[in-house]
Amino acid sequence: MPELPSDNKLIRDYAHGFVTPVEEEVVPPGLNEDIIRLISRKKEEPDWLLEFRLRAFRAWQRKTEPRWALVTYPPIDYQAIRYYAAPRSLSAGQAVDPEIARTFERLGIPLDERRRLEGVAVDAVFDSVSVATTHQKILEEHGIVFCSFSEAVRRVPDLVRQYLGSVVPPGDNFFAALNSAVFSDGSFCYIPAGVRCPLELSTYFRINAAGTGQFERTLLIADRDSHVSYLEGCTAPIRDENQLHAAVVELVALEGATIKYSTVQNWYPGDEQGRGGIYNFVTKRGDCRGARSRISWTQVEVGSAITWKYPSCLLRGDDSVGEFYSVAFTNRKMQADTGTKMIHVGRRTRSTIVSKGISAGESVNTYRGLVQIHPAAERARNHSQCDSLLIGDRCTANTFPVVESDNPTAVLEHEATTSRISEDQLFYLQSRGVDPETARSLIVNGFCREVFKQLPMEFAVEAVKLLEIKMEGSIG
Amino acid sequence: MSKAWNTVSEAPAIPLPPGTANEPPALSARRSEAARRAADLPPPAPHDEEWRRTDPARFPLDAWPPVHLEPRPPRPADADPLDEFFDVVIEMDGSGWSVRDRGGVTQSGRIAVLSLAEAAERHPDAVETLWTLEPAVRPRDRHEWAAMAAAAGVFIRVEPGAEFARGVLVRVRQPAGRWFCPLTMLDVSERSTLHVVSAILSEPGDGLAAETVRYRVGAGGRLRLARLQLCAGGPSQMEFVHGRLSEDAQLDAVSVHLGGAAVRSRVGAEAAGRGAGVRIGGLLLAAGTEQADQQTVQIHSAPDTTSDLLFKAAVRDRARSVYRGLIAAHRGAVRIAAYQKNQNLILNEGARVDSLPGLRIDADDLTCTHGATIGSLDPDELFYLRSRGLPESVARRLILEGFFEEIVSRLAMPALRDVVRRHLAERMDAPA
Repeated sequence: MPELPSDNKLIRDYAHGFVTPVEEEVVPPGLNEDIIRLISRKKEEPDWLLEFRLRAFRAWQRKTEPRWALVTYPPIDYQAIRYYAAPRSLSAGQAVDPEIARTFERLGIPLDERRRLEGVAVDAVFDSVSVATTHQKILEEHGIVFCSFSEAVRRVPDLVRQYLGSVVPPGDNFFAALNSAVFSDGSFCYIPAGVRCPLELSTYFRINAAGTGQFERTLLIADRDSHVSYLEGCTAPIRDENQLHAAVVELVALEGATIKYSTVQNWYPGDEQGRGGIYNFVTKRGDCRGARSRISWTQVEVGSAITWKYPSCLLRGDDSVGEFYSVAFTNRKMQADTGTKMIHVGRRTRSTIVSKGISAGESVNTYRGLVQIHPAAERARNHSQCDSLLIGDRCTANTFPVVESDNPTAVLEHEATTSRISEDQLFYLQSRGVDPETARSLIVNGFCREVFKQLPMEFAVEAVKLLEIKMEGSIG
Repeated sequence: MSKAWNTVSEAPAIPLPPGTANEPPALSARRSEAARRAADLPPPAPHDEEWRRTDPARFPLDAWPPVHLEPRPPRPADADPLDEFFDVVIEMDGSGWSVRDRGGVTQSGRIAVLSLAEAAERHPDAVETLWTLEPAVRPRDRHEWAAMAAAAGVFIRVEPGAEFARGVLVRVRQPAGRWFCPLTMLDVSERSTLHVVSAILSEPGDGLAAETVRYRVGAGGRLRLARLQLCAGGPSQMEFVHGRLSEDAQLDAVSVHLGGAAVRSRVGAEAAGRGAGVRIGGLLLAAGTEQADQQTVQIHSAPDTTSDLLFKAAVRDRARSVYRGLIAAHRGAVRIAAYQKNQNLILNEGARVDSLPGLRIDADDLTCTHGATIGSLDPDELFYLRSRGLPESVARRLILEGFFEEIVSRLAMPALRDVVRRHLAERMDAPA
């Protein structure tokens, strides 16, 4: 597909919408055991991993696509999708293709060692494969393993085998089963006991090839008393077709470990008429396995035609902490059904949920959440706050929380509000000479502040800018 | 719906109660339609989202023979001290229903108390409207259609501008071993005021009671609706309360549940006219192995409407309470204020609470808020009272009374408040 002229309005709205002209190696469309064997063979995987895939595939075949989320889309033809696409130059074992390096450079992620991002180690995933991981040397000094999933299978097979599928089992749900069967690459990270990771770790996901889906898998293990902050970013070209992105992210925090996982999701959302865009159907789950462990999810969702994801925390260790901070912005005909699950199993476990939904245009934005207190979760504590902001009278905002308590000593609070931008705040700003567009933008930023301040500095700045761009023209 | 009218000849799979054969044709047709709808829907399964939290086996539809509520003369044995606070007292039980007009208000022609069959003759439009009222966001399920098929009872209509010093008491005694489906239709005309109190009692034993209440309130009218369920044990209970408010109409509803082995209720209101206001309060104290599943629906389909809901529940022993709430704001329902709050106390280990508040918002210029809390009695408050010499049991009861008082005080009549407080105290002190 040729690139759109740069003065095209879409390009202005979505600057990441270009296509990289690289020759890609793809598998034929369709999904069956042969395709899975082919993917596994291409990646030279051990037998146990192929077995894992096949088990997942059989589980997937028995499952039906979930329809309970408040999103509508035409049936997906799973046999029409290509489950593997990799730049040909990479499979020839060369250094990073200059075209791909340029792509990531355009996306603000330089891969070459001299100009790489200060303080951030990046694993760049291009379609189905990881193309480069920066800052390897520093990480190795600390004993940190941070590499593509395929490499991890070769380098640390025992770790991968021990933890893969231990948080999101292969048959967990329809899309997780699909991912477990066909996942092509992703990032793997292991932080040894007592290590505080000196860099922000980051994965950048890029869909490039047409007619493919991206099914990456992230596995992050923080050993006892370690600490890691992990960032994830995503973009895709502008296309008229819908592309499926079904990822699985598994986090394991052992005793005293802290994982901070931040996402800025800016997949292509489709055009004004709702044509094209990414279906982002993702399973993300963190397991606070050890006592005093902590997992914190921060997500800024501004892209995708459909977002369907519920980053969750399983709070098994006593005194473990789960956090979920989310901004979900929907515009045009975008649909988001997103939220979190906090499952309190251990004693004195605590969780915080802060969800900010902003709906504009004709979009549908739904918060769906579960807080569950198991009988043994003595003195567990949860506070949830879900606010929705409405811009325009054709959008929809829904809030469906579920709170379940099986323990009398647990304390749970949930509050939610839905309203539009306050006239008083607008008037106040405008009377001080701020133009209406900037005033609205300021108010929206204030609305999201609690979430943005959880992001690492550079990401927070990006998130604010991104939201500003996304809001342009959405206000009538 | 019109299609269903033409196919009434098909035999319904859900049996209709005896005695419905001589009803007006429009009513029989509606009844058959309801029976067929019920038969068409699959029986509830434990994995259905709607039934995930309540055991469907506690609400078997075909286990009990249906009762048909026919009018019968009042019996002196029915009298109760509470009656003197009301103009009209209606009894509904396994033997039929009766009406006593203590204040002689029906003679004035300003209020009519009719059987469903009579109402279908004299006020066909009103019966049709009330029969078909349902919240679109929560369509009728199998149980509700089946209850409509077998429903019989009373239709109360208040003429425009009418107001009464005292209200109407509907005393429902649920018979054991039966499928009992009393119906109450309330047609409150413009600018009039009606106060209806339902007292729900039950015979000991098994059975299934499904009560349907449908109301509409005309422009500027006002309906006060108090429902007190004061029986422990007895048949499993379902209730389906829903109605519509016109311009500037007001609803003030309070529901009290103090017992019932298995309770499944839905209380709904649609603010369908500009300026309409809805206020709903609920109180539940469940003990033993009781299961309660309460649902509320606040629908805003007109601008400048308000709703305010507060549901409070406390569970002890091994009881379980589920609250499911929904605020739906339709497109064009601007400048509305909707509020929904659910507060829960778990009094001991083994009891369980689920809370599912929900918002569905399709309009922009509005404020909708919901809140839910789950916790136990505040240890600081307990400590405060105990440090002043109160025994723990008294301190706990006082705090619990305080928790519920916010709802009890919403009841309009002091006599009712006393009844509720007395029952609350008994339930709080009862041994596990």
